[in-house]
Amino acid sequence: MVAASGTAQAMGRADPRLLLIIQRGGTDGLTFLPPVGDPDLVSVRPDLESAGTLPLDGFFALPSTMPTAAELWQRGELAGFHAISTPYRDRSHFDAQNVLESGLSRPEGAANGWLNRALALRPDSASRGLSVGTGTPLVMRGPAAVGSWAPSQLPVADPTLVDRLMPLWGSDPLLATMLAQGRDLQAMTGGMTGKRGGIAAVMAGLMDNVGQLMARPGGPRIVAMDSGGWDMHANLRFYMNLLTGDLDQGIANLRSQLGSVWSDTVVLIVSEFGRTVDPNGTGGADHGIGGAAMVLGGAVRGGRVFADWPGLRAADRIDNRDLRPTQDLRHVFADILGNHLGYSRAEISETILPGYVFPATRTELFRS
Amino acid sequence: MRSSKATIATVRFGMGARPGEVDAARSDPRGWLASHLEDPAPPGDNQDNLGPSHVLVQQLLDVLRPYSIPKIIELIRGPYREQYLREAIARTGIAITSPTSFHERWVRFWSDHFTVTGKKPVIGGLAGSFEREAIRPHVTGRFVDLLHAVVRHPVMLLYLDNARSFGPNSPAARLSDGGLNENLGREVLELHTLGVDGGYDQNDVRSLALMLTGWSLGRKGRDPVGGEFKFHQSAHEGGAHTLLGKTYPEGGVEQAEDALRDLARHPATARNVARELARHFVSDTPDEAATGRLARVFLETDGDLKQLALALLDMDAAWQPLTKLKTPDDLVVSCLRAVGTNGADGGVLTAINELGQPPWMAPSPKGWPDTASAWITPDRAMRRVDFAAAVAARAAPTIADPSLWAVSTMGDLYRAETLTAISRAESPTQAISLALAAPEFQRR
Repeated sequence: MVAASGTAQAMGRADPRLLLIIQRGGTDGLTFLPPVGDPDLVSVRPDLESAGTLPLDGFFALPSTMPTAAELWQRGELAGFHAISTPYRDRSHFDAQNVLESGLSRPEGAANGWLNRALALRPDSASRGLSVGTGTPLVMRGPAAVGSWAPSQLPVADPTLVDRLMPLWGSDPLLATMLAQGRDLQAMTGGMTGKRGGIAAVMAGLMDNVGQLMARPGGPRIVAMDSGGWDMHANLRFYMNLLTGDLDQGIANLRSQLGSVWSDTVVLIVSEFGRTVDPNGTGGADHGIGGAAMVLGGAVRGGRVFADWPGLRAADRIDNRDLRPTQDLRHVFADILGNHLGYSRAEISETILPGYVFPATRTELFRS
Repeated sequence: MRSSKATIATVRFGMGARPGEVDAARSDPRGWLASHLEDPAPPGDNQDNLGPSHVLVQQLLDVLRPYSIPKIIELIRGPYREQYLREAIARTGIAITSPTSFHERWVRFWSDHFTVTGKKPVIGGLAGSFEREAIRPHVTGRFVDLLHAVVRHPVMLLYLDNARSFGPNSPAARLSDGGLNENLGREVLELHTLGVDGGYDQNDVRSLALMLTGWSLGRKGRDPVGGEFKFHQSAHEGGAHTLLGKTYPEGGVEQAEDALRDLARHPATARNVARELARHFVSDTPDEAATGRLARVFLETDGDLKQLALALLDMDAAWQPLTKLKTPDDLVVSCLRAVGTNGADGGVLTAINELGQPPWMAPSPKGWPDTASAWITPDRAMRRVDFAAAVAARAAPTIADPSLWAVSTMGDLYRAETLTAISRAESPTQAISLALAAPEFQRR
């Protein structure tokens, strides 16, 4: 495959699906995608060796809690990215998440997110966007109307009550829009009550539900969901086992629910930044700049970890502490937008990721 | 539509009107609210017998040393889960029944500013005691005292990992594999005081974290009371440390206390607090005048929080039409106040959970979002209606005349169109549902 052309419509699939998972808190890339081939890893993170890993390309590995992801790697359906970050170079969760989700190069308090701007460019399909959870993450906020869904055990109100409320809510533009969309949304998410999982099965349950929704013919096509708990300042090993195991089960459930449309699907897993190379004094690691990301799904041409590895020694790091990012997460966003979802280069660099400059070569991340 | 000041007082500053409150506020809405701060109703029965934090914290220390993951999980799923439910029901019950609900909102505001959250599982059972001990007694005092109470509280020290943060060159670090944890130092600067754009850098974060080393907990057997704050000199990073250009000489526990005192009085802190206050009480996008005025009051009164609250009441901007969207917690509490509910139970907690804002479960140390865009989605709009209908079904037998109830309880909140719809409802339950799900009732 060659670099995406500059014409109005780039390549893409007929009915592509994207699930974006934002790991809130700053995922520790050295555990999520351990660079076991780096001879310095043992000295900075001695516990990683004893924990066991699933080898990938000889240099990188997966946590032993992620057998499903390892199987996808074998099938060529998973790609990793390491020493990667947004353009943000400081260590505030909240500013970093703002940059990650706004798609801008600086935290500017943007009111809308890059996935929403992408949806807004295709007004006919804008209603196919869905955010999962009780709020809408910034990445999905903006001009395009997007759906939302969260598990609920509340008894559903009598539809005639909604009929009577509609004209009243008309006086409040924000609420009126939401209620009208909420009623229409029943067609997309109706009948899906879902269930909250326990602490170790949050993503497993939600991704099962998301798979059911995305598999429906009229279901959502671009979905964003949060995963919490990645800010591991203490007991990192324990919590990473818990959360990566839950995520892996979620991936398995998602694939199983998607069935034949798995081949049209891309899952992008990102976090706002990484964590310090050295552990801190409490069995965790503090906020650090460079981290790791994953892309998986039937549409992915995987089996590779993309990294220009900077090394782990103090002199290789930023401020002697953080993994030095050598690639921009927006390249991954742009690749998915252009070559999976079919947006043109102009749409990407002018509207979706304003100011973004395409690199000279691209990663060839997708199957044709 | 512009509601009367009495209605605005109950909805924006209070937790929503209980029957009779709009009448009580009518002659002097500002004075009615000020009296809540002067003479808050004691939390009373709701909070009796919940126990001091040190007892709860010691239970955790017992399973951390020696470290036992099965026992930690047992504690979280057993006694801590029980404690969380009791605390959360008590807190929600106070909000639903309090006759001085501006004070309750003020407690909630500061509790959120200094968030501790059960998203870190061991904190779930402890968060209530933190709010009772570190927040509630200090919300009408000085910001500096509130800040001190918060940062030295055992639950904050556990939540942001300072309890085990050792100075890299301290005797304790040399004897163990412990070291520095900068989590608390960072969040004090970024969230509690200066704000993310408050002019500090990574060196300042590290300096404050170093000064805070040794701020930890006493242990049963070694100290008079286990689970209470204790400064451990042996874990403290000795020497002078520089924060925002000022050097703090070695001084044990007083070194970080001095630094916190300076942070509490910093103009960036005043701006950061003022911005949050204006966003909570004025609008999602408050203008610079509102923020600037609150920041000036903060600095001029040396962070006197009661004066700050009264200054809010004196601002025209705070009496404009109700445009803030109620968060799920606001909505649940105000619905139950409106129908005169006498307390909370597990069912109420389940509803708050379903709507997405269970007590002390904010996603991060930044606390809950405070703007409409974070709280309304198409799906959430439908769930608000579901919840209103569920409350109405339970309350209908106690409300003889829904139209009369709507006007007498909520004052002039509703437009004529809404009152007509309430009066033409097909059943009392539907009438009450319409009142609680009406757009006017979603705003504060």
